[in-house]
Amino acid sequence: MTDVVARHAGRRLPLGLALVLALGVLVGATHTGASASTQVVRSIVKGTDGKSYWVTNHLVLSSKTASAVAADKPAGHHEYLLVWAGDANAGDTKGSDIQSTHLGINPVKTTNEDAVDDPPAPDFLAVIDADKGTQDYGKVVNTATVGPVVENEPHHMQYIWHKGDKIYAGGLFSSVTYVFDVSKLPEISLSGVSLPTDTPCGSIPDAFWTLPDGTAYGTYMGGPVSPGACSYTDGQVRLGNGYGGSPGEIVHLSQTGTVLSESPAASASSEDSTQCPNYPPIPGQATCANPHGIQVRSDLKRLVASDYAEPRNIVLDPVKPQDNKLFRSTVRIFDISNENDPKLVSVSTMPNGPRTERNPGHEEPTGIMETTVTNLPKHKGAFAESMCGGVIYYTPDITAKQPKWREVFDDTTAAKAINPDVSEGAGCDGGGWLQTSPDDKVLYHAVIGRNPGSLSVDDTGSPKMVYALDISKLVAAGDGTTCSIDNIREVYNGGNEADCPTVTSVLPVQDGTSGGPHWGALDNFQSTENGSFVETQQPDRLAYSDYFVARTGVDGNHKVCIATIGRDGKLAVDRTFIDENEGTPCVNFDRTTWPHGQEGNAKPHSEMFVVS
Amino acid sequence: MLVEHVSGGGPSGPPPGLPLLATAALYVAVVAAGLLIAPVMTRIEGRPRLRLPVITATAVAYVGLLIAMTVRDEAGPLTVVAAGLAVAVGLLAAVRRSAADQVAAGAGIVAVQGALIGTVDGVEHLLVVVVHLAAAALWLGGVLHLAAFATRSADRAALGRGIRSFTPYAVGSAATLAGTGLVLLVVHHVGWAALGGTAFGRVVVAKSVLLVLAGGVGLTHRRAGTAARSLRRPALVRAEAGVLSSALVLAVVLTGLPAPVPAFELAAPGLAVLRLPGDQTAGLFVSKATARTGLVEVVSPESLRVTDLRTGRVTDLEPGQSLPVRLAGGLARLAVSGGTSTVTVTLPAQAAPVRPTGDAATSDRTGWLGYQLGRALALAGTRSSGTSDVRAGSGLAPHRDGVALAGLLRNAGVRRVRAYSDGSQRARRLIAGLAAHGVPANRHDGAPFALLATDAANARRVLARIAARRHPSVRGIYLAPWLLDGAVLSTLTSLRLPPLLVPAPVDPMSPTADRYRAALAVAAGGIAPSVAGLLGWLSVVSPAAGSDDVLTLYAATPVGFLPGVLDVGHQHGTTGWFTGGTLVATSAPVPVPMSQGVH
Repeated sequence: MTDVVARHAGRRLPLGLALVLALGVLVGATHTGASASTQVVRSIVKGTDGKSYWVTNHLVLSSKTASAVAADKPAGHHEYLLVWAGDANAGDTKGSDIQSTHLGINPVKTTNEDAVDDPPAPDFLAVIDADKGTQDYGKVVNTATVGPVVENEPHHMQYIWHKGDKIYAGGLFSSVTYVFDVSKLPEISLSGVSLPTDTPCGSIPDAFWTLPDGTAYGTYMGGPVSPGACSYTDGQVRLGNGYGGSPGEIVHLSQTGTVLSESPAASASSEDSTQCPNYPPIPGQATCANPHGIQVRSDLKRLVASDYAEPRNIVLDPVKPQDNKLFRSTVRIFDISNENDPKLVSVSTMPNGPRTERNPGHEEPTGIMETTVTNLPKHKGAFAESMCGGVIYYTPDITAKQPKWREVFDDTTAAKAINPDVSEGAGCDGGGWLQTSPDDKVLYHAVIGRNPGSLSVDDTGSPKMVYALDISKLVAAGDGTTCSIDNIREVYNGGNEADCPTVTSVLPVQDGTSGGPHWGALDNFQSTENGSFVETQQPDRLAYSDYFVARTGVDGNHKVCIATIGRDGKLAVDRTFIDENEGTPCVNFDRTTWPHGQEGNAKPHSEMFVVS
Repeated sequence: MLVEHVSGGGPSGPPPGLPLLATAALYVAVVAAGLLIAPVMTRIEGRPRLRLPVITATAVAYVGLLIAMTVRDEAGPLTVVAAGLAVAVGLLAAVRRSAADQVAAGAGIVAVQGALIGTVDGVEHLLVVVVHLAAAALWLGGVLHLAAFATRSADRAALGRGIRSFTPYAVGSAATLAGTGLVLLVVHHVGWAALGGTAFGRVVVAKSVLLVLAGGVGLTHRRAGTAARSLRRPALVRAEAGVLSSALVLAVVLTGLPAPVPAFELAAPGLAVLRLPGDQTAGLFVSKATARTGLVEVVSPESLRVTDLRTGRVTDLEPGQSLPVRLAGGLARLAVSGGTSTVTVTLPAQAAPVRPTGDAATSDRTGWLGYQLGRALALAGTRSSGTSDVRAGSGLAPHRDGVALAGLLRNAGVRRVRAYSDGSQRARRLIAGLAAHGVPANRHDGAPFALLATDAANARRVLARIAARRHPSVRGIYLAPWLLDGAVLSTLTSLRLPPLLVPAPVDPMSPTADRYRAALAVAAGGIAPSVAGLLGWLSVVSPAAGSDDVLTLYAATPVGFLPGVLDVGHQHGTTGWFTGGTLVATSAPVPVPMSQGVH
């Protein structure tokens, strides 16, 4: 028999109601997720164009120091690694993601719905906890995004930071120089900006060096923003062939980004036009003045700048360079007795070495990218290195009227420690960062390396590495130095002379991509018993960035690593400096999520240790 | 709107949305839920000795499937727990004959299916699917319940009462099923052609026929008024149950079939992304020129052969090239081929194209299309319909711009320029403006600085000639404002050129411009960014922009940094104005005078 549906009401707790409640709890539980919370703090300045420029901090509150600063409390003594990083462009993540999805997605809708007030892909300063032994070691505790300019192509800052210094950071593409205040680390504020229109006589800022008064010199590698004549601060006039061309200049910047002076890097008279081609030619004023690296000895009143290349005309064909002389071979020294008026006192052409390259663009003095000075008062020397030549030069006295530069080391000697069968170990091996230790005993160098097969089918490639040289004898020899790589055997074996640099350590950089380490920074700080930090003459670690700019991030490494420097000078990767997401050594800038949002991969170009 | 489907063996669509186990669990859940809720709808308890084992068996089958899904990692543990809980409550409620609890359990089982399906197609889509499943559960469950537990001869009177009680639910469920089914067809772009031309469509048709048949059968036995007809009721109910069960089987089959792939989708008004055979896509932008004619432009990076089916005209188009077409009712009928096979599509033209107030940037076809495309992309982003309440936006006024440009040139120390002009009205006006304010521009002048006042295609040719000269006498090149165009600037990365400078009325490196370039790169990758496109974009997102009437000079520079052997892996790839370079403001903005003079 069929029954009418029985109603059972009120005597027992309805199972259905209980079920609904239970399901609700379960649904709620599945949607509860922990996410790192950040505090956003913005610092704004006005540029000379009347527009606002800002840096926006995204302080990670799970970090003790960041949360302290966010709460306006002192963060205490702490050490950080600042990394100036460019965001992989807007098309990198969104475009590739969209193209692989079903046709049904409206890419325009997706792109626009994802847009926020800040530029779609901001560049930023990453603040990484570098205080060894703390629980946040290796963690990104803040990303300070800059705006409104995007696609700056963040490049270099100064080489070393001293307490109280501002941070000067340049954009290679935007020609904007940002001046950051780091007095409230890990929070960063903006002190000022220098725009391309503020430096009409130069373009493409490259590197910086701070002076004791907190101001800074910057090298601007490219020519005046408009082709033609340009008047510098001291009234000198030089002809230039336009933005990104030649000649470059030295710019003196205040702590608020104001341009104190623009000084010509080029001499008043024409340099040898066959050695210093320009395109288009500069009538009557051929010049190799495209300063890239810069370091200063304030006590000697000398500024050393290395000329790299006319940026607008780099030849990208490695086999048949149209004119390899567009990669410069010169180093310039300026008298900075008047800090606002650096005067060019010498232009030195780096000598050719014993190698005979099939490709003239790989000869030793090709593309003098970086320079570094000795530091102790009794030493007056400086080093320079060639990016495509793969060698290191040295002069014992930068105050000499005509400094004598000699080749003192070939990268091949270091390369053989990794690959004894290397061929063309130095030719276009991509040497970059070069830095003396504060006690002038060690010279550090980063080399991008060259993948096997890059030059030809039988090319063994050249190792990706960071190496350390003992330069104590060389520097101690003073003007009496005799070291000179002028014999073909010295390319592989090292210099025969007793005072030549010797290899202390070679750290291979494991990298399966098509690039390698380009930049680095010594940790010039040491902690004291009371937790504060003081500068040290013997750094016990350095950082290096594996510098890739790959469109999809697929062939990029984008890692920032720390290497310890042992008492014996040996370099070793600090495997406790791990990525907070992957748990493996080195901080990986290829990641989806940053404190400032899901902006995808980033390109770490340069770094520096700072302390609070 | 229902969208056309690729005809004649189109490409296969994406794989089915649910794995096999999940599909089976889904439909077992529908049956279980329906059986649990049925007593309330029909007001017939059903024979416990028969009903309980059936529900138990269904529940056990469902739980078994859930366990299998958990083992295979196809379901999260919380979802499985929730489902199990609902099943347990349902069983308990069935034993206790608690109607409300059985309804809650049934509803819980259906709701949990939502978690299994997921929100991959959006929350709204999931809601429609869940409602569809709920309607199916109600209809099928009720009919199965009646057919299984109320069709004995002794139950005839109760059956009649049960049917009458269930009828509103059945009708409501049927209507909901039909409505949600239609919505799902539209959402998945299943058009008329797909219904007849694909397996998916044919199964949909068959399933729909069965549902209509079931409805008809249901109507028949529900209207049984005579004794004879009421005698046939049990058979009709069983028939309805059978038909609905068959429809359920077809639903299972449908879940396993790939959804038909639409021939195209509109990324923006007038901007269609076509799906070609071989998983290729192609982009076409259709802009209305007059009521009966339009322009079709290839916006994807590959060349296409386009045939206007109304005129028969066949043209091979490179990216950025366009073809006039005939429109009928605002639609272009085209055959598009990417090489091996052809698709036929009917594309809607962008409605209501707008002309800017200053037209120097849009006075040629490329600029016109660039402007309209920029507007379309912006409209898509703002979800606007593009009605005329959006301002047309400002453009470029060549004579006044020439006056302002003269100021910029004099500030840069340039007193005369060598003019490369195409003789167009905008070129003549620009040059006149320059000359009127102290910077004569003469074709035969041997001045060291050149001015290009041509269209983009000619500008590229002139730049190639300048680069090819062995004795470069040109020390700098100034482009006309309308030549702020990625297609022109990209020559910098392939030719050795003197510095290139271009005046711009708006900031081409602003975040807004960046969004324009990003949207263009994603939706129309074959089109270079241009000032015309940017002005079109701004006319929607920021109509006031560009109305400040200023010109700023920008340097366009490729910044190479590394030799080739090291450059690999260091490419500064960008969705910028051109690869490996950037635009940098090299002057302060100079006001464009408001006085008219010769326009």
